[in-house]
Amino acid sequence: MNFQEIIMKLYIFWSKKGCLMLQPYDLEKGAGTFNPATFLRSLGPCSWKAAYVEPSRRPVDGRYGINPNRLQRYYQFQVIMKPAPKNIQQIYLKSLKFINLDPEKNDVRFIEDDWESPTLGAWGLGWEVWINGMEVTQFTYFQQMGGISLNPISVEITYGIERIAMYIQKKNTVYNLRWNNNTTYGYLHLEDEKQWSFYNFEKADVNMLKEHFNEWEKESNRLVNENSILPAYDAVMKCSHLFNIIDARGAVSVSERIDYIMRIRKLAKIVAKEYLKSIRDI
Amino acid sequence: MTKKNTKNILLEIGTEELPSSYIDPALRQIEKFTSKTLDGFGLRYNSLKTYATPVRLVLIISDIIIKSKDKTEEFLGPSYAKKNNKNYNKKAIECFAFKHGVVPEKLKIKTITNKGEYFFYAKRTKGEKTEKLLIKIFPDIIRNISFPKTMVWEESGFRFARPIRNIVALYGNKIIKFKIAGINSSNSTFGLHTCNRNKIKINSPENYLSTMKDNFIIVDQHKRRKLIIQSIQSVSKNTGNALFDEDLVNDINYLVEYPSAILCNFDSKYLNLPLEILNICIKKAQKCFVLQNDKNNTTLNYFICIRNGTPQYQEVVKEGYEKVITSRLDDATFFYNNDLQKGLYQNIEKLKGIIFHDKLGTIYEKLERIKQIAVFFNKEFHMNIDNIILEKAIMLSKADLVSEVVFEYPELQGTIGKIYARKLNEDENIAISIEQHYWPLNGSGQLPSNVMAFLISFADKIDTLVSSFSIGLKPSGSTDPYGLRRIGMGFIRMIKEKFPDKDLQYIVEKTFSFLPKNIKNNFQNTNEELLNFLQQRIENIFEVEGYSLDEIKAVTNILRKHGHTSMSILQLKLNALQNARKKSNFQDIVTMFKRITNIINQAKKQNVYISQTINEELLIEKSEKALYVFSKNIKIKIDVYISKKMYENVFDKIIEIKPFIDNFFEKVTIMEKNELIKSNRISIIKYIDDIFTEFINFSCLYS
Repeated sequence: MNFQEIIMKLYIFWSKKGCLMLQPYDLEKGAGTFNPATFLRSLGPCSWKAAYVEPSRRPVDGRYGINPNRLQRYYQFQVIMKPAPKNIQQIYLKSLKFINLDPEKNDVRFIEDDWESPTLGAWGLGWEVWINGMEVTQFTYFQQMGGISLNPISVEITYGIERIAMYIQKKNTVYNLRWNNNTTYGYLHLEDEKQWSFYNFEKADVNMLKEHFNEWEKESNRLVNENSILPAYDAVMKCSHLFNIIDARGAVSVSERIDYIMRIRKLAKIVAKEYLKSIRDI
Repeated sequence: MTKKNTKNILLEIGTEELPSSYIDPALRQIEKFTSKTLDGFGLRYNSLKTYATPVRLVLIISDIIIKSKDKTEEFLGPSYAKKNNKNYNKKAIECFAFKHGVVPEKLKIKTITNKGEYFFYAKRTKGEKTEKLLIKIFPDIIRNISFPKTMVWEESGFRFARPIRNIVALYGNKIIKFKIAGINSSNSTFGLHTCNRNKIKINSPENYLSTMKDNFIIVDQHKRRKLIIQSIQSVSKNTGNALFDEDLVNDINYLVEYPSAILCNFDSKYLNLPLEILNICIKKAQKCFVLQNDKNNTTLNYFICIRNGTPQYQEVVKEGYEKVITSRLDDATFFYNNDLQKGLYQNIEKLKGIIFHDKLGTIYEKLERIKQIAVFFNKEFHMNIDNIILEKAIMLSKADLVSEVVFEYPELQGTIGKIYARKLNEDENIAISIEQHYWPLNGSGQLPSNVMAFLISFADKIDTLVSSFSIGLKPSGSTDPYGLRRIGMGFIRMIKEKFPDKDLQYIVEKTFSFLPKNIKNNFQNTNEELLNFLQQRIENIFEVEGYSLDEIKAVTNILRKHGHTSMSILQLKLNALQNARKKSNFQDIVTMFKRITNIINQAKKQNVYISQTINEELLIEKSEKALYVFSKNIKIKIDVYISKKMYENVFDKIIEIKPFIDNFFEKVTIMEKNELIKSNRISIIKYIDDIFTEFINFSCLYS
């Protein structure tokens, strides 16, 4: 099964379970959780089911294309369901079987993992799921988002699709994965990894990034006050990514780092609160 | 089989996977709460047992009686004797009767010895059927389990460690029906995690464990644990010895319901990696067991994974684990080789960019301070370490902090540095120092065995303590983000072990002098707070050694006020004090000193002038003359004893002075009308008190 088939199969599986097939959000972000389809939609009383691929950027994880498993940009397959179905674990296991990872033939473990996003003011309880010792999924029941306790509770399932593909295709490096039957993952992304690692670790203009951070922070606050909540959230995402590059450049001390995280969290909390208010008004 | 008139009980709370560390404490809580509750109802039973798997918390009670006992409770009311006072009496009786839901005529009268007659009400509660009580007890058991972290997952808002998905509640073969967290109890449970989880019907509590076993679920955690160990031994017996790790076995035990061990292997080229790295990749990250050759304890290119579920498809699982471990080892090899290629020296430069603390500067700057401190004490304490090697060891001691291996596996700091230093042919003492300068790692951890490592650890710790206290960074209450208490404890243990005769104040003062200007704040303040802090650590250490706290305080209180104090002095005083205390007249001495302290405090309150010199002309009474002469005499001797650390003799002398003081107190009025005489007498007492203030503080001792 090639990479794109795995994605297609997951889309088919989850759309049959009633999920909307969404597309990635068009801003840089560290994880699918940042996508408004998760962060904002997990707030409030309305039921919500969606699945989407999310390209995720983690500048600090870049390894110049040398390490076989580490990437500064990779793909997540994200499922979000509100309220969490009672048999969600069973459904999830069936999705594994659907991509040829039969839980009966493999050793499946749910290992305690308390998920927390300090920047989003969010946390939840759940597991990392292991298949024969390999972590393939993050499985979380959200409890808070933007500092707000959730009701009803959403479940988030995030598949690391490169890992799953490496396992299914028996490849030792992500760059040898077959994206389709003629093209490898490396053909598409190896050069990205080299150039972006170089940029993130050595080239990025820290002063410019810090200025942009300050400006987008201001913009987010201004937009919230002018009732433009969705654009205000985009500004939060921008701040978060700018901080991630600044961090990868090693340009912040421990206390500055905490300070940046607190600033982003503050923005995220305001947006979450205002968003919740706005959907109640509707 | 159950006896006549008793039944067996089963409660199985079926959940999604609980964190393995939560499970044993939850079982203890279930046992405690259940036995307490059943006792409260007078429900006797034969045995109460709890079991668990990652997804089940189970309670089995055998032979519980089918009905709780009848109960009579007596409530005492108003006095019967006051019945003549009609108004008062009537109202009080009515109130009492009303409170218990009866008419006043139903109340009885009871005579209480020595008190008279009273109204009373005997409330009889009929025994209830166990079956009926369980409807309330079962949900209470579930509600009363607490976990370190809990979550909400369904609309009722019930909190538990992970979602509850199923509840089996049986009383004999009858279902006890209740609903909690949106789940209705039943007699049906679920099998192993697969796509179509089978339902398993439980006919009776006594068949539960065997029915589950038939479905590949070992519910009894003790049996499952044994099975894990046996299974590991049986697959590895022809290959080698598994490195058993209690914590790992316990962890795995609550990650699987039906364990079977699988022997896996990896390419022998990875055996070039140090065992520490192999352990991290195989044991810590993947929860598998490392194998060693049982003859020479060399690590083998095998490991054992524990599969959860039926023993089929072992090949698939084996292949999977081998691939994951191989990729981890591959990763580690990559980092390890990169580190070795770069060596340690270029890392030292990088430490200029690593912040130790915002105010205290970089790690590099800290190393520079450690160097000054260590070189100073090397000479001062006659340690005879070659300063060139010492300085080199210090600069290399934290070089591994910026290595790729430590970046990936922070727990290897120090250890991997040692390995690199050896590989790079550094002096063996340097290699050992890199690892051991972090020691002791905890309150009871081993102290550095190597002399140079000891000195570096000593310098590193005192630098951290003095610099942190100088900028006002100190632990308070439960917060100690920089682990200063642990460091302080380690520091004192080290001093006690190797520099028992060295003065603590002096060490602190000298270290302070090496601080750079920008963090050198108020010596007096830093010194006082740090010594108070160290005193608490000293007290902890002596307490752990079994000395009683009041004795410890009596000797350590001196630390705050007076000059030279070393661990050996404290230790000798403590021992002398312990011996003296065994003597029969010691308690009188304590009482005597308490009296002395009281008199001085009282005099201070009354602003009586206390002089350093005694006016001999004002000595009138025989007893005060005698006391003064004796004290002068004894002071000379005691000063000599104290300076020679002959503390046992000091205590003997104290005993000698006692009759003189007793006589003085008896014959002399201290609070004389004549101010000069009064002042002189108080001054004598103060003079005696002063002889001992540098020795021990008697007022700390309990009577």
